[in-house]
Order: sequence, then structure tokens, then C-alpha cells
Amino acid sequence: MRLITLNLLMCNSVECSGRNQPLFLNPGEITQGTTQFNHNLAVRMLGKLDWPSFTNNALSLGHELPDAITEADHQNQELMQRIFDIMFNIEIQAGTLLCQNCNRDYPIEKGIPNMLPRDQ
Amino acid sequence: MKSYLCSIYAKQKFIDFCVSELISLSSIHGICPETLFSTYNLPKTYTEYDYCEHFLPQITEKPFIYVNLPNVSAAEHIAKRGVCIERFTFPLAEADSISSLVENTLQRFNNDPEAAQFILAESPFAFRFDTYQSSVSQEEKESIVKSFGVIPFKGTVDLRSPERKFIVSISKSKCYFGLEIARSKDTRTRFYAKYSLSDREYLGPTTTDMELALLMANQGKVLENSLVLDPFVGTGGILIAASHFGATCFGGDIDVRVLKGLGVGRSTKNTEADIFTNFVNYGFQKPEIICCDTSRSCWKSGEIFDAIICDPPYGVRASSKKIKKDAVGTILPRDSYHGARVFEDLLNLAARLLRVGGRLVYLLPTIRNSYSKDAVPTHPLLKLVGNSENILSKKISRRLITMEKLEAPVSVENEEGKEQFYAGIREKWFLKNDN
Repeated sequence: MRLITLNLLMCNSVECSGRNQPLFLNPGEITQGTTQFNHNLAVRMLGKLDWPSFTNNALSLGHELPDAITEADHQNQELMQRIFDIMFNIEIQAGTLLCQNCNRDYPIEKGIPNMLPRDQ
Repeated sequence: MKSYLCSIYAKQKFIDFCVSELISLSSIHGICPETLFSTYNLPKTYTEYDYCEHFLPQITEKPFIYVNLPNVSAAEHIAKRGVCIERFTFPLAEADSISSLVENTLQRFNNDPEAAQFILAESPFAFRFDTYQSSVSQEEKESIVKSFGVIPFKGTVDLRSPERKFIVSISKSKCYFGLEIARSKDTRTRFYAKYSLSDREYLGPTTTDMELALLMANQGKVLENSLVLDPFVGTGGILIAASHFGATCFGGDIDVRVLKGLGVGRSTKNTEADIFTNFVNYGFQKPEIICCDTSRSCWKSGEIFDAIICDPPYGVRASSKKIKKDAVGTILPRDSYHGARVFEDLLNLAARLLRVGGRLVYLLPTIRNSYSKDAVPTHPLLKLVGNSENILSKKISRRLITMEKLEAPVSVENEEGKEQFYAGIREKWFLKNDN
């Protein structure tokens, strides 16, 4: 699982429904991906992500990013390359996702988060 | 706009989807169906469904449709992606018989300088034949070519690698003569060979047929950098097609076994294959896979995806399952997932996650004698743009449904009766051989 996906997921327990708190990543095994830099894809993803929670997750993995990204930053090749690598080339193979609202955790195994509900 | 003749690949097993495909691929180039088919003077109120109804009945006998496209390059792009498209020609003549075809070509040559320039070009050329439901012997072909001798073709004849290919198309009721401008067959054979299921390292019993998967990706208008979700990803067949067109892919599945390379999907080469293996083998970006339950979405709302493409489980080929209880670490029994509910959840998911103008493409199983247009699931935020039938037997068929996300909701007729329509669809499908 990559950080872009973490950013698009939410806790689906009944008590959290409607409250889309960002999930907190507790990383285990991490591997380096090999996705080729694609400027247009990075710009597209910037439009989809919740930037503050993305930078938080990046920071927890030791990557510092600016608080905000402006249109002008899109032309900054070095920055975009770095953002792209954080988006696509950090592959979380194992770990847990934690809901900060209800404390429910979701395990990640073999790069696949298990988001199945448990409360039915 | 220029008028070209599109030949449909009549032997394609998914020929029923050809009109939908043509419309979708043209719309990628900004051409609406009304412009595309303006040659036919059809009512302005026609929907994609009506166009299919109009063209499809005769398509196997006469697989030709005149289309309006901005230029040759648009035709080339469409031909390159088309699963059901054979070629585009610059049409020179149309007639009921070969003798009048030659006559009409001559007339066109005399009256239309643009057409004449193709005939008077100096480059090497050849004649090619396309015959549909009528056989033409070698002698007949030679005599047809001779009869075209009244037209003053320039350039030398080169049968091996001609620069200009003049196509004589003969179907039961009509003949056409034209200059080929784009052909799909060569690219098609290449990419089918590349993605053939038998060579895949990771495969399941219900892995989507490659041609069908490509066709669905075309319906979803998947382009470079599109974000595509298959919420019932299985072994990833549909996402491989989307990756071929440059999409970044996301897949969900409720069955952990499929995702881990256990159970349903398995390695064909005695390796430790999993869902990512085929993507790596093809050199595609790895998809993002989530183990989740579509009826209890784990995706944040937002206009995330450009297309959601899937073959939902409806208990016909793969059994549909919904998670029942605690499933940490182990796989527990599930209750059966009611047919109509699968589609309801899918449409809700699409309405929540597609960008405006984004597309939902899925296969809907139908019992032919009880099907009615009203049985197709609806949603106030999704507009039905395509609904074409692929007949599987006398009794059953599946429909390729394409919907587009709207900016604002429209009212929908009541939903009653749909539950009943899908109830027991599994049993009805399995009765198919009893008749």
C-alpha cells in the first residue's frame, strides 16, 4: 500500500460513520518502489489528496514536506519528484492503520490493508 | 469533419458492444454521437441506447457504419484502441452490385477532386477484399480487379507492402470501395498475444476475458493517468486492461484468499504468485489493493476516480459473498449477498467516488424473456449512457452498462420491482440448459 491510498481510506466502523478522521499509520515493513516519475500524475494526485494528513504520514516516515503546495510549486521539478516518490515509491508491506476516533486498527499484510468491518 | 466508413470486426465475439465502443472512443476525441452519425439523419433525441438499437440488428450482415471524424489521426487513434473495429476507409463508392460500384467510383473520380487525388497518387498500391457472409472465389476477385481497370489508377501495384490499400468490401446487400486510412487488426493481434490469459502467471477461473476487459476499459474512457477502481478485483483482469491504457489502478475485494494468491486465483507456473505478479510481469505500475466490503465502504467520499469498472459477483460464476462477522486473520462464513443489493451498493459507491463525467462500467446478467429496460438499476447521480446486450444463449444474456456521473441529481422512478427482478437470478441462470 502506498501513501496515496492511505490518504483515500477511512475507518468504516459504525460509530465512526460520517466522521472521516484520517487513519494513522503504524508502519512495519516498508519497501522501495520503482514507479517512474510522472509529473502529470503527481499533479493529478495533488488535486485528490488531503494535503495536511498526507504530510503528517510522510513526516511519520521521516519525510518533511511544505505546509502547502501552490500552483507555482508544480513547476518545481525537484520538489515534485520528491512528492511523487513519497506518493508512489514508499510501499508499506506490513503494519497497522489506526482510527484516531474509535481506536479500531486495520492490519496491513503483504502490502494489502484489511479494511473488512468487524462489528456486524 | 470528414466522413469515413468504419468496418466493424464482424467475427468479434463481443460484436454486440461495437456501437457503444465506437461512441465511447469518439467521445474521447470530443465527438458526440449526434455528430458521429450525422450522415444518417437520425432523430436528435436519440440516446446511445437508440443508436445501438438502430445499427445493431443488421451489423453481422452489413458491418459498416459511416462516421464523421475530425481527421485521419482521430480515426487512427480509435482504430488503435478498438476491440470491435476492423478499419476506417475513405469511402469512394457504395453500390448494390460490383458493376455499379465500379461505375459509382468512376463518377466520383470525375466529380470529386479530393477523391481523385487518392487514385492519382504515384505511390504503390494494392486491392484488398473484405467479404461478409458471401464467398468470393479467386477468379471472381481477379475479374473484379479487372473491372476496376476503367479507373485510371496511377502508381505501381505492390501486393506485399502497398502504401495505398483500396478495399473492396462485399456483404450480402451492399458493396463498398474505399481507401484504407486506419486499420485495427495489426495492433489488435499484437496486444491480444501479449495479454493472452494462458500466459498469465496468476489466474483465476473467472478472470475477465482480455477482449472484454479492454472493451470495458474503452467504455470507461480510460486514458493515461486516469484513476480507475475495480471494487470486485478478483485476479485483476480488468485492471490489467486499464493499466494497458496508462491508468493508475485501485482494486478492492472481499476475499483475502484471491489477493494473497491462495484459493480462487492460483499460479500457473508453480511460483509464489499473487495479484501483483501479472502487473510486474507486464511492466505496469503495481495496483493498490484493499481487502474490503463494497457494502461497507472504506473509501472517503470525494471525486477520486475517473472510472469504476467491474464485473460484479452476482452468484452466477463466482459466488457473491458479504462478510458476516469478525474476520480478523481468518476467513469466516458469509451470508449470501442478494443480487439486487450488489448493484445498489455498486451504484452508490460510484455516485460517491466518481468525478463528475467519470464513468461506471459493469456487466449486468439478464434473463432474456423477463428483461425490461426498467430493470436496469438507477441512481439519481448517474446517467445511463450505454446498455448493450451480449446474448449468451436463448435464455440468458449479459448487458454492458455504462453510466456517467452527473453534476446534480435527477429524479428516479421508483425502485420497486427491481428486487424481484434480481431475486433468484442465480437459479434462473443455472436453468439455462434445461430448455
